[in-house]
Amino acid sequence: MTAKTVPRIVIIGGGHAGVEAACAAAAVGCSAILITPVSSKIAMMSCNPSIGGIAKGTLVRELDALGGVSAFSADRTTLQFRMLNMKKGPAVWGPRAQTDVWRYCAEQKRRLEEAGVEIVEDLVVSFKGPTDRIDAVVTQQGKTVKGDCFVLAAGTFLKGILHRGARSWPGGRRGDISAVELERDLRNRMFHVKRFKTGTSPRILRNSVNTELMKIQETHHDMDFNFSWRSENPVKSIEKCWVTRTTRRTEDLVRNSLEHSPLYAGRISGKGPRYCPSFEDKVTKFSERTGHPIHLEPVGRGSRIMYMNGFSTSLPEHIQEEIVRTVPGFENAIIAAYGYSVEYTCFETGEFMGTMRMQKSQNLYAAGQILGTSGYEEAAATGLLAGTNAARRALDLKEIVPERMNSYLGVMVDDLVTRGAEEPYRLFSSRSENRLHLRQDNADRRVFQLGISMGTTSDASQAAFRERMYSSNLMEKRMGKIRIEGKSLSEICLRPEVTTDWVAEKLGVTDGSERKTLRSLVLDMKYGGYIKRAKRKFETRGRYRQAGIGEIRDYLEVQSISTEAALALNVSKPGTLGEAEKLPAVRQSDMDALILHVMKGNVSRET
Amino acid sequence: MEKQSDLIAARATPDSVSAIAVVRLSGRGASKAVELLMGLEEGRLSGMKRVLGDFRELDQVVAISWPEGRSYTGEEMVDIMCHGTPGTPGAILDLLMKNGARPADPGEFTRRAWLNGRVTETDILLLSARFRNLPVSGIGELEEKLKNTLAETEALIEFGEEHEIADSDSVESCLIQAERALNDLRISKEQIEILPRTYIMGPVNAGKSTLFNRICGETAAVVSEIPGTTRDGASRRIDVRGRHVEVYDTAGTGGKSLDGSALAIALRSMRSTDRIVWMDPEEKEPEQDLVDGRKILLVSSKNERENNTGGKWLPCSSHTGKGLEEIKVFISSSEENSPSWRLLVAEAMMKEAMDAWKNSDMALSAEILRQVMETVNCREKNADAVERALEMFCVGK
Repeated sequence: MTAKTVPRIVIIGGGHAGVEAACAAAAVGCSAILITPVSSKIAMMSCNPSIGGIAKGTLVRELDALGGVSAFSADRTTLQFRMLNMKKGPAVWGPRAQTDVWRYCAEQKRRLEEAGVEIVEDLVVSFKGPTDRIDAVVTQQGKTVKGDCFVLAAGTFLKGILHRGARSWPGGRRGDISAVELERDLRNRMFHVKRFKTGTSPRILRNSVNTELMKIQETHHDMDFNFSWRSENPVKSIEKCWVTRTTRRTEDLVRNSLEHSPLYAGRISGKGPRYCPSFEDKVTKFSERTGHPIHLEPVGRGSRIMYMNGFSTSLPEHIQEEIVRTVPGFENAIIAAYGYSVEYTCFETGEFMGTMRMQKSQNLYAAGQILGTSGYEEAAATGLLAGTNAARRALDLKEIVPERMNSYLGVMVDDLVTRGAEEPYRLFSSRSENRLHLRQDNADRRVFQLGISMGTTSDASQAAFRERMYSSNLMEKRMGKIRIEGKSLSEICLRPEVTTDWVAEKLGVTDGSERKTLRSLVLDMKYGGYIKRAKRKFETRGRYRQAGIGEIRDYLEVQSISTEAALALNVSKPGTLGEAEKLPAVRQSDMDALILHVMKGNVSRET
Repeated sequence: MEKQSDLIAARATPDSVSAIAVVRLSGRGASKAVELLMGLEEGRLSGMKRVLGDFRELDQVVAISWPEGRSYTGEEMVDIMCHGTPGTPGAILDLLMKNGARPADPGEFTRRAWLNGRVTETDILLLSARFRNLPVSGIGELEEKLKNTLAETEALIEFGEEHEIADSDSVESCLIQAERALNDLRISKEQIEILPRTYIMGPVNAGKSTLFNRICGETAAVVSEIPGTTRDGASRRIDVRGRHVEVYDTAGTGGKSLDGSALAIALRSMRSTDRIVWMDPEEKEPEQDLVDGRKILLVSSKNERENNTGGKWLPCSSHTGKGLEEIKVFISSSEENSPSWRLLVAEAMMKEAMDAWKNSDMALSAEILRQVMETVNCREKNADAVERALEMFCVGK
């Protein structure tokens, strides 16, 4: 292939979504060019300095198995590691690492370089050409960058406005500019957009706080864990995190200062996430509660700056100083950077498809917060998918939509496309109907096939995976053969009280990585019944969505349907159950009634 | 519509002196019987009619009739309003009994209304709760409890690490409460469902009556004794394993099967949902048209020998008590897919959910809890539990 024939993918934005998109596009076989205002801030963690968490950590593992780069960089920059939910069942274990923010930027930038991505320091101001088929992007420096496909991953920069106290100023995040012109161009191109809001906490100087008054957070660094299957050395905890609590005085002070909050003064109209509320929200909505936990986390190895997690606020500077000092251990705290809120533009649900391509365009894709997501992990995942599909389309290959039952990536994409986000979307483990399957330990097994069809996994990763599966199959066979008191090991391991360690002992498996493989195998066996059931249910639902109901003349005659739904259905006369489901008046119980109606054969099943 | 059942009658007002008393009559021929006793011309009471007249010189009464499909029970029905003087309603009832009616069982009108789709289970539950002066605890409360349990579990899974929001003790008490609510609901459902009815059948001298007496005698709580009408043999309403059931002792005949007439009688009065305990020490199977899709338990009776597993035949001895427990389970088990049966299944799952919880597998516990909710038809979209949790707790960094 000559250089000319390689299609070019242009990625707008160098955050967590942009980096994965660029690397994926390159992995699929295109040349990738990434445009970002400041290249030293590539993959910057603008908020809390950590990667992973419940469901999020699992997603990061999925990304790694799909050829993504975030997991590997997280492993290399971990400051402190915790496995969340260790006492709540293996399905909801959540690996989370506090990371060195600046080293993470450097690592991710290195990943881009390794992938051969061209980095351009500039700001995109508009698209060129018809929306249906974009020709190029125009930058602030007056350059025109042509491409075959485009991935927009602008994060919070689209007409980003920062708020603190009575002050508001344009910016994508603290210290950065806002993409005002690009946002205007998108509006002119008739994209439906909405405004979301998010916020961040103050950063504190390390030597100004008294950590003696706080609790050291326990770590699980001895657990032999890596986000990436490529990493060789287990993560280590080399820095400490502390936990403390706010006091009555903190909460009262915030309550009495609400008039200075841009949120409560009504200057912010964007919708913010409820699971990540500002401290102002916490004391207002849960006024009876006192002692909200505050986590003090280092932002880098030996860094003088600590992140005050749990204290997101946009109150004025002098009030932030006052309230921070009411927290035990923070009496003499010096704020290195004040908290603020950011309001930004993102796309309405329905503007983009499961491939991450815009409905109105043949070659424009979107990823990250502009889809309505929140969180580095969510952004990275949509980035990987958008970059992959942009490249595949440019190469005339079939675009890929991940399946809901096998990965959190699939769950998230399906949620975003079909249900939409009314507030910044964060992954929860309970968003999946197949949670017992979507574990962090078996991420590679679940998405391997997806990775093959996406074309993003490297040959080396594939070989390593096949090797793990080979050893897994061997162990499975041996488990069928070893019998104890008349029962095979594969039968015995289904009992709730039987642990993987016990099975490993019986099999004589001592090697660390073999044990991990065995663990996934045993857990998949243990939960096998539930997993099968979840899949079957999902498939049935899917089948019935196709079922035709156009023949029903009067929905009031359908047994046990609500009148509200029947009247709505009588007006809209949907062709299939799937269409009926989308009507707001039709609730889950009405769907059940309709499914029953169809099952009884009252209606022919052909569409 | 072939839903009309035999004629039943009962006094609808309390057994005491009052200005007016009401006697209710429901079933096939209700209007005809009253027309006859009031000396009205035939057809006078057909449809939704109201007449004032003399009731066999006993009393001046007002009779209101409803046609099939329009009444409370869904059957042909007549209400007779008479004076509540001592003896009057009783005398009217007596006359009705002599003219083809039988006394209604407690709750039988409502049960017929339910069978004919005139009232829903929920209506009955509410009604029965009001009658027994119980708080209206029904599916709604159970749903609420299950949803809260799930929300607390999910909150603990998603946010518990950093927020100490719901402690695991409170989830455990939620689980226990939900289990109790399930149990309560099942018991009240069982009370309104059709009584499981079992016929003890088999050749003569197979030990049927011995078994019948053994079961009835031991469980004692005799609720009512239905007078033998056309049926041969005895029947009892008893409590077996905490459940109200009806057991019929039938007359067996010589040889391996019932004789033609006994079989015909039995078949006519049997419902498709009735169960059969077929007893035969010789282990010969009953005829196919008797079984006909019914639940049947084959019992090898008078079996006092040890180590006789008997294959599909349950070895049993009314003397030693062998096999008795299995027979009781068979007699008292819920109709498959009936509400109480589903609740029973849900209860068993609930225990699994508790076990998973105790095993520190909250994710599994939550999964089973979702299955419980599905089983009792309490559907929740997947993200709803988190939505609830978000309203309940202060979460987020």
